[in-house]
Amino acid sequence: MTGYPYTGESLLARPCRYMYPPYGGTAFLAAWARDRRRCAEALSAVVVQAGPDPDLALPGACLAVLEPLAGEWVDRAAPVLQRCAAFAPASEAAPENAGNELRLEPLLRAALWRVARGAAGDAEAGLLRRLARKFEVAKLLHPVYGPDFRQGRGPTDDVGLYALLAAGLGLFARAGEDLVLLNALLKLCDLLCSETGPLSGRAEASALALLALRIEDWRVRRLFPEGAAWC
Amino acid sequence: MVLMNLVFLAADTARSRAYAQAMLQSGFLPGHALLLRDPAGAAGPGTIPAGARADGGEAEGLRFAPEEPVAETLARAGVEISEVPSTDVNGPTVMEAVAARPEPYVLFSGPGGVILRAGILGLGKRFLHVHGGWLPDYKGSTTNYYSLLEEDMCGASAILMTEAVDCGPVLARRRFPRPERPEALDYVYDSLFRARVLVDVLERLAEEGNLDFRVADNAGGRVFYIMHPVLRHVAILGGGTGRRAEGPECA
Repeated sequence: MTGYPYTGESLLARPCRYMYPPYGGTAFLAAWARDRRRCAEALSAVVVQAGPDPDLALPGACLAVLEPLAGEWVDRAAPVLQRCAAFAPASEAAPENAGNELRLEPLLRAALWRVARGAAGDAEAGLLRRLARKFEVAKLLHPVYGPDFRQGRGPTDDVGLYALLAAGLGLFARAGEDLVLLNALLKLCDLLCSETGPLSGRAEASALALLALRIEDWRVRRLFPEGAAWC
Repeated sequence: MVLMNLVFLAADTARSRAYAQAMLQSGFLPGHALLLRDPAGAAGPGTIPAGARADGGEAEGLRFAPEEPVAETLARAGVEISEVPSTDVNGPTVMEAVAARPEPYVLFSGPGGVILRAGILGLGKRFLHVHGGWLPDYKGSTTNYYSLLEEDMCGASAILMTEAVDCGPVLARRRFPRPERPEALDYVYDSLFRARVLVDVLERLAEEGNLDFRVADNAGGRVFYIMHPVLRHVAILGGGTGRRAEGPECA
């Protein structure tokens, strides 16, 4: 095995089930790290190109500070995100949903904002864990769900939703080693890296994906007691 | 000893091969076997890939040779086999074959990743399954990789299946140390560990004549999903949450 095989094709078009993968030793992990660096470079280019666009919810200038920090210490990344005032939702109140519909994007934005400020409560924890399970089972996210997230509606190809969830899971799990959430994060990062084309026109989603990749890398490396010999 | 109240429902996977060999070695044999075959000859999940290196292993007095087909082992053991031309365990062909058997207990070892639905679970049989993980703590998929990362150990737990996955009553369970070759967990050790616990259950079935006994409450625990290949590699290479240092030195 010489390459990392999980990002070459669109995982939105063909979700991966990850059943019985072959063992590739340290070469596999090295291939994963190379593939993630390739992906991060592509995402960084999108963010840098966007520049400090006032219309972006998460400005490129903000990510320029956040991105290197997240790679080392996730805890230090959160206050930086907190200072990115443009990302703040209009209201601290939980987003209202029309009737019995749950619109995912405002829910995820509000959750990410609270998580980044270290203010996540049971509601955010429940939402992120629920969506991690949803993604693990279905491999896809819908923009709208029925009550209790039972029935999804609408197209599943909005990369922005996956980027929001990946960043939220990454920042949320900073206390302790939650393998359930890390597992979902790894799969979300595969998906995002398989969709660098659609992400090229989405500066904010690219920035969030970049943040998720940095957190993912940091968490995986922490699992090795004597350092990651494959990097 | 032939357990006339037990039928073995098996696809020819690594797990089924380990079960058959463990039953032969222990001397506790099923009254009959229903062997699931894909009519098109396709290899299902859990089948040892053609050409794959699959050296055997040992655990707790059991030996496992993954290259031996399940039918061959059962034939050597003198177990009567009926072939079922389907691997869809929730489909009508398999359901009819199971329903037609007189044995009240079904040892389930179908294709990997399959969940039994209400239809087959409602046939009036009781389905014995050995989960590859320590219950109730590790429910769901690939849990031995998770327990390697968290506790540097593996487990197996025998349950009676219910519609809620991995939530049936626990009949037997064991913990196992990290295998000598953790890269062989999928096709050798996970199957071998389950087979060892299966023998524990069959011994008690032989003694008591039923599966009404329990060894543990199965409430609570966490549900895990199929592990990402990166985490699998970390687990195999000896990384883990319980043994981490301050952080890696490389940039």
